[in-house]
Amino acid sequence: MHKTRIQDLVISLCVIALGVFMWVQTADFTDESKQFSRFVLLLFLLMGVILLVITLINAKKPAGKEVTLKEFKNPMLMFVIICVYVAMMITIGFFPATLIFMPVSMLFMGYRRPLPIICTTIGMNLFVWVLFVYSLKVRLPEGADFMSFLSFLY
Amino acid sequence: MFENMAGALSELFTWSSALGLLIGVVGGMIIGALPGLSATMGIALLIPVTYGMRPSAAILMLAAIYTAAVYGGSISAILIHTPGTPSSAATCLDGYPMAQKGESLHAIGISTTSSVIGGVISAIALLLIAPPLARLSLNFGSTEYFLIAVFGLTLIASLAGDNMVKGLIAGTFGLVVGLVGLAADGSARYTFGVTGLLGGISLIPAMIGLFSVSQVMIQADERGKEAVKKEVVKISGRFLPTGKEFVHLIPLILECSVVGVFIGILPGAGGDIASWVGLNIAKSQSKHPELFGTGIVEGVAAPESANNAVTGGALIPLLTLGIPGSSTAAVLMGGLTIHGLAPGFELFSKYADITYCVILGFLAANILMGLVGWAAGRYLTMVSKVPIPLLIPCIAVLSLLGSYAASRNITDVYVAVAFGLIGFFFRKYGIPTAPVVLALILGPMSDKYMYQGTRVAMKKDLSFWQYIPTRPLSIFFIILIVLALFAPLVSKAISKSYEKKHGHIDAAEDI
Repeated sequence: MHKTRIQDLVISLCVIALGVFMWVQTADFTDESKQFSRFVLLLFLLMGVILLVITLINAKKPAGKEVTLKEFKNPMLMFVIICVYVAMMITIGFFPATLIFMPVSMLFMGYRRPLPIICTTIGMNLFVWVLFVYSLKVRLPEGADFMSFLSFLY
Repeated sequence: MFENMAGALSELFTWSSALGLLIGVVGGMIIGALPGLSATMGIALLIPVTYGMRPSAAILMLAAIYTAAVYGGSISAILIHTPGTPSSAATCLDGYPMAQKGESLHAIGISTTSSVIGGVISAIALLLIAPPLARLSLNFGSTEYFLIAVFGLTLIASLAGDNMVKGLIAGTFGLVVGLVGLAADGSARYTFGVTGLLGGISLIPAMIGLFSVSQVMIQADERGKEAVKKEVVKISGRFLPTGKEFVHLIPLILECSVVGVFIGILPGAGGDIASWVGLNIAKSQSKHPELFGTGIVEGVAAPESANNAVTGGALIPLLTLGIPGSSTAAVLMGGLTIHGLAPGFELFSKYADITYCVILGFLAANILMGLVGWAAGRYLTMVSKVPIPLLIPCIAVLSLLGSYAASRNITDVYVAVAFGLIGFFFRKYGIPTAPVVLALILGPMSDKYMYQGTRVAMKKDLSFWQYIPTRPLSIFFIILIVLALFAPLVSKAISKSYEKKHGHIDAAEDI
């Protein structure tokens, strides 16, 4: 099988596995709820099977661009940074978390000029405060109790 | 219609509407001029900003972003030979050569004039066609609404891009995600005992995740790479067309605008197709078709009037029937939903003040777009010089903040992050994300109407599927669904034919 077809094979198998798992769950549903859920799942499973058949028929032909593991490194690191940012948002509050997240992600992206980094970080926090806190009265995450000394920001 | 105008105008002439209009136009132009960001992502990101706004100002701002982003894309197409949005790809062919000849400002001026005329004509079409079409929807019952939702879902095939099966997988995945939460009969589905899932997967965080968070991850792949410096041509020449030139161009602009409106109404055929069709009209009517591609004004005027005319056309089925024919329209529909507005006759009766204010404001947005373009269009290329590493964290912060602000619930932030990851994998493996959003909107709608239709059918001792053919309007929608299934094949054939004739230009990905 051509390398580019393996990824389509994996996608089709994932679709079928998810579809079957969800179909099994419908056994506990009410009759009316079951009707629409099974209709949707049938379509989902059908698409998975069609992709599987197409992939197997054209197994030796290339299909689009090959995706290498290397291409996932930086995006996944960025994803981890975003997850840490969300965790910080809950523990130390939105503004301190953003003050840390922005310069870190800029540095991660390879940007090294301090002045634009500082200006963008402060500018963004000010923009968010003016628009969301001051104008729209949105109560942003304040963090855990130990961060209560910053509650005036929210 | 006219009895609602007074209320609509008083709604339009408020500070919040004026501000929404201005922010929408300027913001849309900036988003459009930035290669890599599209109207779809711009609207998804800015929906949270509209939470505190009056519904009229909010929807007006989002509609203004839509039309201004399509126009903004032409500026980078002319000055740096990179279309900011796929709709402006055809403009590159003559716009950039004009700029190279020292007529960059003139090319922007022609693009501005044509876009304004195209946009204004589409707004007038919206004003005239939408109300009677909405009145027609009064005759619809639950089966018709179910079929309208199914009709909308058939558009998934046209949003699927090159790989239709993967597009359909994305669409059915959206339907599956839409199953989570309470079913139409009030029973819980796929909640796995988690109370937070009873309300289902929220649309806005999912949309922000799919379009914005995934874009942040995609851009992260550019880490440490030296940005390719795009050569920006010198700004020179006069801005506005001369009187003689205007008289020469106006029949072409008008024709392309009318064609653009019709393409906008058609499901799945968006601004990119319209601009190529416009260019072909110009070429077929020209005495010197061989001059196209060398930098002539017709080559800019035709595609730009056609692609901006699409915007108003696309709003017609969206506002009247709730059918979003493109990813941008689907996101706009999300904006309507957030403000408690459901497409259909109610929008033109109960909420007439808001709807007509949006339509009149959309007309004003197109005119304002011309004024802003005239005053500041030349400076917009500076936006494309903003370093990506500075832009990416800003998009990430706004994305997560927007997801949170929707319901002040941290769970929605998790949803945005999760859908960001899903969106990233989808895009990496060539699965389009737009069908997921469309299905997330239309899935619960079809579920609800299927349930209601089943109840009605039961009273007549029929099953839901037996009941559908007993209603003539339903048969009409079944025919429409069958036609829509063939639409992507036709539009694909048109695109391929134009690409063959004019060559392919890489446009910023339509996200």
